[in-house]
Amino acid sequence: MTPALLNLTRSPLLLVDGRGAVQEANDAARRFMGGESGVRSGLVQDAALAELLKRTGGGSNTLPGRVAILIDGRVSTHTCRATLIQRSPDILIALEIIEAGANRFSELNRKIAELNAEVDARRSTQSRAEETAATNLLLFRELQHRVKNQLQMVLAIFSAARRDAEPAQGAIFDKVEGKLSAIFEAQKATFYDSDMGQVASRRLVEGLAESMRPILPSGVSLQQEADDSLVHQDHAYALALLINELLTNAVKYGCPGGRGEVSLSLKAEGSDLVLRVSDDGPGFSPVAVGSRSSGLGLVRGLCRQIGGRMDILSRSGTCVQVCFPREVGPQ
Amino acid sequence: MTIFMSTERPPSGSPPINPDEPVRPARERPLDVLVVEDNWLVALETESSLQDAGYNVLNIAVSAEEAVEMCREQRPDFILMDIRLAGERDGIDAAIEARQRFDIPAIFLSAHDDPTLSRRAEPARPLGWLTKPITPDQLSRRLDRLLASRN
Repeated sequence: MTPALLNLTRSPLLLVDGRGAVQEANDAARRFMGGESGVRSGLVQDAALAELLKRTGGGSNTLPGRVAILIDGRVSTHTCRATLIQRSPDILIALEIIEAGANRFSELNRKIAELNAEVDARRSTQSRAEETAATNLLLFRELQHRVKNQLQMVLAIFSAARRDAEPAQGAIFDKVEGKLSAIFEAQKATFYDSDMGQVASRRLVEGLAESMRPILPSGVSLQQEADDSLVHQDHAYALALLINELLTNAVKYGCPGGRGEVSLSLKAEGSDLVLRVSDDGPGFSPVAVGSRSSGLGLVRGLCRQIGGRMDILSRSGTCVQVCFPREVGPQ
Repeated sequence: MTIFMSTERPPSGSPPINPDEPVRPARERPLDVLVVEDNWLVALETESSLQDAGYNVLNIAVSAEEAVEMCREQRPDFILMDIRLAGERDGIDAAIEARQRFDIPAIFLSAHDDPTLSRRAEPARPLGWLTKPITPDQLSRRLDRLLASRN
């Protein structure tokens, strides 16, 4: 058989006789056996060879198997494919050592082991992460609980002070309590979801209306409306105070004699959120500016804080409209 | 336990009633309430607010055991119950025991709003849940509403 033919395969290919002695070898086999001397000393061991021959059954099928090969005095076992290519005058068997294949498998095995190790590492990281997340949720709830309790203490101190105050000072306490309530509602809405970044407009608006409604004069009705938009947390507190202030103004100026209808709405329009507080009163001209921490002064300041633009529309009643961006820009 | 509440309607011709404005029921006697709260400052102010709102505060308990004991001795009409208390047991335990032993209902007032708690509290059949922080005014109005809707 010509060397060119033997070199058709890149695997080590040996032609061995009936005794197991190597008759011919291709280039890969030479390399595999460590050169010419290896080839000359090469002997496929009898038992393995006999087994192969028995399995070929005299046919010319290619059979997979394992053979032990003695090379330079050392025996090694290899996976191979064997074909009986000549029965007489002398037996000649072609043995293709699937050395590359064996390497490929060991390479795959190594990869699998690596992947398994990685999977294990990831699993353990994940379980640690889950544990951390559970702990964080617990801590978050605990924090939330404490903050609420502390706010309750603030209210207790505040109401104790009110109790000691002159009755004439009641209006001031009402105002402060309204502002505190607005902040608490924003805080409740912020803490409602574990997602700390955003506050649902609907929750904020409903919470504020709910807290405001009981302290309105009995002849004033308050309607609220909100969509599914989200308010950035950085805006929520200022917005709550703003709403409280606008509602207070609407009741004060728009509901003469303690009667009237006030409506509050917060909705997304394009890239803006739009807040509208309106009443059906006589229409109020915003002349009384007051100090910067109350009335229209406070409203203007809070608008600026959330990057909003305020318009006062006075047709049938007063409508204060504040447009502010939904996204919070860089501070 | 009997709670007397009037079913009187306002006379016709009176101004329209804000549906959200609770109608304070005229009671034949003020309701007796046990306040269970382990923060003393908050407890004192809650007591004052309740008294201002026309409730009769029988006592203040700071633990579940104390709450159950006071229920046994003083039989309040209802309990205003905080959840986290001094001691091992919490307000939910106390509310369940008060309901089962003396048929005294609770209204929870706590900083929790964890839905698993309301499931745990089911055997106590609470009259309602209020969340801190709450102003005295909100507290009395919401209590009025909860107790009125009961009848």
